[in-house]
Amino acid sequence: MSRGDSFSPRTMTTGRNTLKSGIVDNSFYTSDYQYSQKRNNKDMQDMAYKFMKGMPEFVKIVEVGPRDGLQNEKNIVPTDVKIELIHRLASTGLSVIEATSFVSPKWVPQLADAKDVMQAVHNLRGIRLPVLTPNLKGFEAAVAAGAREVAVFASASESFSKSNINCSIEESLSRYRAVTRAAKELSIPVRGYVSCVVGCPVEGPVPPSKVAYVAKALYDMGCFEISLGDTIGVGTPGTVVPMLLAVMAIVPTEKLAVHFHDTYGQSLPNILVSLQMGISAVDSSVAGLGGCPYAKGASGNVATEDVVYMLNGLGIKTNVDIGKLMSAGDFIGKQLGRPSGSKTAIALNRVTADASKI
Amino acid sequence: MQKIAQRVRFLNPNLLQSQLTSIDTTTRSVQSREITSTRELRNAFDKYKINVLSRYLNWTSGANDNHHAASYVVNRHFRADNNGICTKEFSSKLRKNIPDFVKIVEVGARDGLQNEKAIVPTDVKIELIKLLVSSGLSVVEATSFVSPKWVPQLADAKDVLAAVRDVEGASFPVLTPNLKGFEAAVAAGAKEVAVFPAASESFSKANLNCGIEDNLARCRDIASASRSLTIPVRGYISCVVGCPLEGRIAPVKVAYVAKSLYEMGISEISLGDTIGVGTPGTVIPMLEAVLDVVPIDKLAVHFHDTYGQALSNILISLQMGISTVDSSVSGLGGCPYAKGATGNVATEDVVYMLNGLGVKTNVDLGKLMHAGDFICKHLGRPTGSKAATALNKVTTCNASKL
Repeated sequence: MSRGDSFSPRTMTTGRNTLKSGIVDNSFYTSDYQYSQKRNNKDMQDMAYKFMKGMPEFVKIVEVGPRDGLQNEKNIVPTDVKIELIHRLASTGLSVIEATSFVSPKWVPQLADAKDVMQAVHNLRGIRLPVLTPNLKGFEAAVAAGAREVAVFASASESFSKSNINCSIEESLSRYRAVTRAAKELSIPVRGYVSCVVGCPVEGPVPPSKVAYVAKALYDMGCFEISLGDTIGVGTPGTVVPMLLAVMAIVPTEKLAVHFHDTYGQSLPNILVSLQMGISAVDSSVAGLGGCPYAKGASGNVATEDVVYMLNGLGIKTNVDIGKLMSAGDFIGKQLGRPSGSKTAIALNRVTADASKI
Repeated sequence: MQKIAQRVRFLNPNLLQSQLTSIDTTTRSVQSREITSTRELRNAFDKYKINVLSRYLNWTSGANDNHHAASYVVNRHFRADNNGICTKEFSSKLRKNIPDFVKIVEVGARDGLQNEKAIVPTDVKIELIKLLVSSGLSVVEATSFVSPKWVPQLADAKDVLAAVRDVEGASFPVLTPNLKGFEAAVAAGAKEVAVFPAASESFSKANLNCGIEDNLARCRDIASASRSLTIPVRGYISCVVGCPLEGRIAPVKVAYVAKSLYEMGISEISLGDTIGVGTPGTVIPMLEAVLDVVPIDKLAVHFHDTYGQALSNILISLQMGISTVDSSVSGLGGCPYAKGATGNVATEDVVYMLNGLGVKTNVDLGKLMHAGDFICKHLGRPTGSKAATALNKVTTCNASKL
């Protein structure tokens, strides 16, 4: 096994790089040569076939760092930093970046500059920039600021709904019906979030049927995509699969996205089973921005770099350039004065740092 | 020994040149032939020099990220009718193979502490091991009989083993790099040992100062010496997915080392992703290749969380039926190849996932966290386990309902 410091960093990574043109290249770490030949004539089922066949060819990553991430950061980030972050994320190949949230600054002071941020970025070409809108008033403010896509967020848990948005599930759904009606008139797509799809900090485990009920309600009112959020990160494949089955029974799979939190380190396995079941949209946050509001100091969102690393390894297209993504993560990490929440980013940064010594 | 017919895929190097000019990799043909003895397998392996293989693989990994990787996507070949329906039957297939019980091999006291900068006092190590046993772990790797010149962190191997070897309820394997270490271990009362060849020639030379074959010869010596003493020997294979020097490692190489270990009577073979670069896309072919030549109940997986991929790799291994997982309490032990990056996967996170899957482990997460707290307080740093962090910090009054 390894011997710690006696192994010199010089001999580390880039023996193979001498085959290339001298440019330090860490594509090894970011892509996989992949299983590409099918075995014939085996008694055992073809494993890859069994485990990979349901997986999509392309996964859309919905980047929620500037909204869900920064909203949960202790520090309030200056407007220009937010704008710069969104610009950097836009250059990575991400096609959907949640820009901000038009909730009352009383509740979410971190995003009080929603209007300014939106006005600065709404013209970015080729990128969709959804914003959160809790009610009609927020919707109108969003549209006035230039938003062309919005999102609403219901909870699968009654207690969480009351404590988080001060109204019951039914009330929130009727508010959102008003929003979706108004959005339809303006041809503005609406994304629906369901929170607490596995567990609730107040109620404990949440029955899959409740999640399915809320997801269907959002779908019926016109949401083009429903993102299922494990708000406190307690889900494991054992609880995620029954929940997905219940929802997929009444909402088409291609309308679903998964939004796992990494509070207990379970998000990547949860994403993996979701992919195996055919889900093809995943929410994540650059550098794992955004802690968990219910377990102070614990982590929250899963890091986009880690998700992209896994998807690259699975041979699933994302159109995201992991190097540029890491640079966006570096930028915001420096601004926040703390290290990245992404293990991939940390590892790749160290590897290239040592490799440059050669 | 039975003759085991195996199919081993070899990439045809003659096609290499023509394919360099066309990037249509999906039409790459594959040569396969029957191999009917170990000797043939070994010869076949030698024939394809490491350089050729790794160069070929380096080419296939290429400089263009997602683009080419997508052309390898398995489901391109297999995806028939994607009407988006996921049936209960399919999801239960995913669950069906997952074993009912998973044995966790706790390597924190050895693999973890060996990679820590600080040298931990002997009594702290002993207390840690005792706390780990009390949490229900049945296998706790105690220490390593390598020369203190190489691993000063474990220079007190003899004292640690002497103190814990009689603790009931668990076995305490120790690492032994060669016959000398083995004899020292036995003299100190070891009842189980472990050896550690690598699947990568360069890594083996750089890390252990001998090539794969020499290493396997040493393992054979230890295996025969231990047989007469009825001491089980565990085998670790490092770099089963990627090597810091060679890049990608061909599954057939891992299978070769695994088969050699199996044939010399090794009781369990732990497949280690030493630099943590594996993802399910590379882990599956590697496991497939090894499962071709070694029975599944002899296999364990040892993933590193350097890129955050360990739990998903463990999940996919469980889905393939693997039922032994190595992990380290609190994620002790960084990665020696990317300073500051993480190494071992945290036992608490693994147990959390297994609990969620309904898989028995006999490990009490609370007591495990207590052991983790103990060692982290001593090392003066926070735990590397996200589950432990979260469980320690959950402040809602109804947390017990979760």
